[in-house]
Amino acid sequence: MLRIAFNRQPLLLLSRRTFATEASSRALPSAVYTNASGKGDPSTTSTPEDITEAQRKVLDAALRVDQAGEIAANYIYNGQLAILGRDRKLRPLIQEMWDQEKKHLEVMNKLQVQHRVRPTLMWEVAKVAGYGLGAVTALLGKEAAMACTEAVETVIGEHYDDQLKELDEMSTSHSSIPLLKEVIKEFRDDELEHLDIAVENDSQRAPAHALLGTVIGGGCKVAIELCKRF
Amino acid sequence: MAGVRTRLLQLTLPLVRSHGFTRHALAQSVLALPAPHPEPLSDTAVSALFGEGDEARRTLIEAWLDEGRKQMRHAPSRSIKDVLAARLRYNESVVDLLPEAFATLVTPEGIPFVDPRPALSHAAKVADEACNVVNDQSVGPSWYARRTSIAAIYTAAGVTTPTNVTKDSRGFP
Repeated sequence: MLRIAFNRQPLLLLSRRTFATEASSRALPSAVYTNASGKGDPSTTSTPEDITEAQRKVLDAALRVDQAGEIAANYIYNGQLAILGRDRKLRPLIQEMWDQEKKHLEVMNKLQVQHRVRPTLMWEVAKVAGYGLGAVTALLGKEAAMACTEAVETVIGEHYDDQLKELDEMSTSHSSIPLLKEVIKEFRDDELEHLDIAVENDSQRAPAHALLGTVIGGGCKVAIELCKRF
Repeated sequence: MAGVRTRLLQLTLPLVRSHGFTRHALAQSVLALPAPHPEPLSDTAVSALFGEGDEARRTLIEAWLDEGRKQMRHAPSRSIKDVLAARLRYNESVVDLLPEAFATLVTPEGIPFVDPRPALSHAAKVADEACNVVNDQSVGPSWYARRTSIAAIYTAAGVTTPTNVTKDSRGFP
């Protein structure tokens, strides 16, 4: 659906990038985790105790998946850069996206500790699979690497949207949940920006683009379900 | 109903030392209410609130274990040693009752063999609480490694905690 929107409405790309630029000039929600401003604040140091057991499991699974996703994303870009690092046009783009994912992972690690979430048992698998996916698609060519980014970021963007809906249903007076929602929105927008970059850089010209996108997207969905449980 | 159940479980905990992890202790809990009940709960009421047979005892044991984890937050310092020591000290008042209590947990009704999961779960929860109290920042595999080692230490310390023994006339156990 997002792919069709981009084909027919290229202006959407500009508007999303403009929004992101404007957002960057304001304090980002994740800044409370990446700088010391949030220390001692209950919204960054404690977890709600007034949610039900079922809601706790939802929160637990959500953060576990998010953390695993950011690990995989880090290693995908790592793998891509290992192969495409000499490409003068793509190198800075991939590096910029990777730097954003590093920040995402830093925040997710802090959220995992704050909310006392068990990290995924698939931690090392996420690293290996991410690196492998990034490197293999990069070996298929620049367009395939961008198609990989497009597919992964599409799934992640939709996944974050689903999580926001789940968090909206959580009734708690604890300040950490509204902050978490803002952080997830910020990260969702970052991931969609990566999707934009991928499309702008000819992801849809990749050989067997539809097949590649379907396989990678399907793999991401399987990984999400596994990390929710394990 | 859930609120009443939780409240009565809390009132039962101080009675464990004198009445054990028993349905009788649960029945007596209403006598400790601010507006005390005139008589203990009937067996039917205990079953309705806490479960039939040994299920009620398991509910009480789990509540007692939950309280033990809360007590860890009041350890004198934020070292793993002191936090685990605080948890083991919580056991002292009922140390004679613990072997039978854990036996009850690991032998659920309807299952013809020992189920180690409750015991493993208890050690894991204690380890996780200890890490939370000391503000452990581990992520990934080191999260598991740290908790596994702390759970093993706690379990070993718990197993070797001496219980009161009956001595013969010469003073030998």
